[in-house]
Amino acid sequence: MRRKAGTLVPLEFAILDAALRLLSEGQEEAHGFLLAKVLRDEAGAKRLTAYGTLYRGLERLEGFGFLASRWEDASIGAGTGRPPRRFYRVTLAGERAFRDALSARMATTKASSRQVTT
Amino acid sequence: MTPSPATTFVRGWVALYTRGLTPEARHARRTEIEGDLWSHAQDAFERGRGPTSLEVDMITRLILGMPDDIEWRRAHRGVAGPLQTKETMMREPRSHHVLTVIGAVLAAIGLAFAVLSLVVIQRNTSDAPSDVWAASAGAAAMMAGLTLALIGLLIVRRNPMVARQMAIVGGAVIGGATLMVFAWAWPIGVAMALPAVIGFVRARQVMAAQGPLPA
Repeated sequence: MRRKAGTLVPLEFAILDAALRLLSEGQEEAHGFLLAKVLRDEAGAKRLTAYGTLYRGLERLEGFGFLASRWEDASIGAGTGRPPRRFYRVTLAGERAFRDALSARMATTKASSRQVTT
Repeated sequence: MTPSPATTFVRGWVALYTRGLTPEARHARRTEIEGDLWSHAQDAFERGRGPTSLEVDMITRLILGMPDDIEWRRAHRGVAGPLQTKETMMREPRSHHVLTVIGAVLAAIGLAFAVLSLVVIQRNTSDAPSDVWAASAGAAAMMAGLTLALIGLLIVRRNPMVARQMAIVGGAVIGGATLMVFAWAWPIGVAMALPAVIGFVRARQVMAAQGPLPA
């Protein structure tokens, strides 16, 4: 079933949430592994998000315009043998999409709790 | 440092599902996963986690992400070259496609002939062993050259550059076998080399039809 344009699936919501959390802590950009760590810690999970799931999600968000990415200069990590990293940052459109999704979730939660109490 | 088994598996899987994609997509995905592997190992080291735990984590991430990797590949498969295969087909005249079929049929016939020759040579006990060995090697070389030419013809629309290389190598192998072993039967050698020549011509035609790579 095709999803409605602009709606976020749970993983995409979680990725934007993780990126915005890091932004609030002063980290404007984050690479995939760092985002996976934040996702794990936020969810209280034991394992990191799978490679395929994580990077496909990141690419989709970038395709929607909610994330922007850049490759770091290969010489930066060359001294330690580290491969170049791809850094992602949330765009304005991404922030808006996250806020909209958060509002929708809160509205759904309120409606559900009202149903329970009545 | 020797890569761990899990790292090897992850790299092998990434190499497999990025095979045949554009160099940009392939390089980007492989580099990004390499970075993740490095960071993961570094993080495990800093947190004092044992190697077994790290290996299990990596393998779990690999396996659970495989369906998404396959979907990712499918999404990227459609942009495997400057033009999609169907568009290339539409740009070429019918005679070009007929040429591919002729080349493939000739390669298949040549291959069957080479296999039959090898069987006959091996069963011929009247010749000296060295002659049998030389003739067998020649027939095997013909088979290898024809196989390369045939594969090149089959993939010429999808990857004309690789097809051209295969045609050149296949033709060289057939030519070499003819000169060194079957010089007395050079007309047969020339006939056997035809599929490689056709493959080379077809590769150039497809590249011309696809046009220059986008800037």
